[in-house]
Amino acid sequence: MELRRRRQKHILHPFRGVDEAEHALAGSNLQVRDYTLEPDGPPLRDSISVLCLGSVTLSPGIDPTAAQTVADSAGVPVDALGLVVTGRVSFLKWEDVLLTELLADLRDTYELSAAPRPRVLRANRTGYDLLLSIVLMRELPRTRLQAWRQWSVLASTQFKVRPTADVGFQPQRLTPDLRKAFKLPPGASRYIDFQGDSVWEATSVDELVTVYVDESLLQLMGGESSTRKQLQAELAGAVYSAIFTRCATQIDDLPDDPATYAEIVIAELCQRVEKATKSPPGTVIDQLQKGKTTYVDALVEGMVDLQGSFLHILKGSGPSGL
Amino acid sequence: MDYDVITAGKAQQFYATQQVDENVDLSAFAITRQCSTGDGDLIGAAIRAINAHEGDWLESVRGRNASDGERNEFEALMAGPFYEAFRELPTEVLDDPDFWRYLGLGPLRWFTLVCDLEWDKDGVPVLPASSMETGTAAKLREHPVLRTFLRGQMCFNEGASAPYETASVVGATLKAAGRPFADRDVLKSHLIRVQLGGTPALARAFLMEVASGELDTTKTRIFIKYFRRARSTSALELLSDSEARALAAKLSQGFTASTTPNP
Repeated sequence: MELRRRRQKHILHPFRGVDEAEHALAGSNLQVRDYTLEPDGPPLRDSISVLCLGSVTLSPGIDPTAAQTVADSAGVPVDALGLVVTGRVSFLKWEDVLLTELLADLRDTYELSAAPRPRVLRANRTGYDLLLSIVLMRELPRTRLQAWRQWSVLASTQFKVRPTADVGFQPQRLTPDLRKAFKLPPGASRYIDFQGDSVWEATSVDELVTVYVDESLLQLMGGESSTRKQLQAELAGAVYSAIFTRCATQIDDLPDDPATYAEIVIAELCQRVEKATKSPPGTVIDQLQKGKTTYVDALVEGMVDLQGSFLHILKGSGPSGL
Repeated sequence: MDYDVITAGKAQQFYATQQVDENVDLSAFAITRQCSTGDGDLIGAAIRAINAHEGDWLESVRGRNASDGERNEFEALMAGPFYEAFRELPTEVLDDPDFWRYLGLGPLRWFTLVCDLEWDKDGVPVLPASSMETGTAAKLREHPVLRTFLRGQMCFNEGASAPYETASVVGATLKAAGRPFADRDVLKSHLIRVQLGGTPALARAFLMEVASGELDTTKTRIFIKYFRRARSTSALELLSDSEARALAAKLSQGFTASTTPNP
């Protein structure tokens, strides 16, 4: 799917100093975990499971000289201008002011995620925006073509942070009622249920696949012991294999720039398998297109080190092994 | 902390079962997610707090069909309880559209039925597809459960003697004038779907202007138009309550918040 973008520049208002204010903000950047975002750039996409946890640090990039330039151009005292940082979560209609600082007093960096972490920076399902604005902080005498009203915005820029599809999944309990509903035999330990006919219509991993594990088995599988971890890894491998097998019947080509959640999930899984097994990029898709799903299964087993798991279990398992 | 959700795809499958009763079986459609914060029975307590109001509703409409105005009024009165019940939940849960979908189809289904139940031409009760909110997160905001929470959120005036007064002020004014309590369209069109709802001080001021009779339909559209201009030129999130009221009064008269001085 081709990704199209359009940018339009708006002059917010015919004040003096608007261009200088925009230029001053163009030097800002936002650091989210290991990623650096540029103002008004494409959104950062990160995993749902970590979006609400990573550090968020703002570098306004406005030194005192730049602040004075903006003030002189706008015709206002430098101590009347401030930087306002607002966090927005559109889904919940939250607009929280995270920072207000006079332009002349700005520091090099601000850790916006410092405890207590603001609620807007915990929005990991629908994401958040951070809006930076150079604002007139107090009312001034009215002057032609000059900002005078308190809270007037001379320029603003935005950083967008959005979740990407999480390739993790949460196994669900396979209860006796569900076992009956799915018509599963008593010895079946798990069931991988795909939603809908097409893998490409899912908008999240939970919509792509639901993984059911026998409820008593699931209870035993929880925890941190090495055997449990190996069983968890084996389950993950089985799920990934099932997803790839499903893809094999529906895949023509994966776009270079995956855009939908389903495309992002599949691309992410492919990359993980290829990286873990030191296979060339594109190997998984190539093998699926050739119908060699069993080879892809073997790659997945290599990724989760199924051999190692089996050896560990066979050599060291027993009641104490769990 | 674990919490239950229903995805859009599963909601579509559930909707196909045509269950419109109060008690439905969601076990085959709901899944469990994990939240990295929160403990205890926060969600259960919130649900119980809301469900405690079901008896009030049933008592008020015992033995008869409620009018649309009565349903509308009950929904407005529930804004405060909804916000109080859910506001302390972890953001990871509140920000999950599938959680709100689950509440509306499951534990708070009775509230969905109160607000959204319709009848087809044969008199058969029907829950509109929109109530299942199988669409985008933006559409989910119009679902009764989430929109009532958002109404409480934007109308909450901390420190006021009646903190949720503005939640029902428009409908109450209409009712006092002998008209049906019909504020749902105002809520959806001018607060939920647009950015005005994200600036609570201005949202409350807007509702007071509407209730005062200053804003008819035409003037409301002008208000929203000038609000959008004001929003692009001013940091409205910094307004105090008194500043918001003053601005709302000006916007309702068609003035812009422009800083361009008079020629």
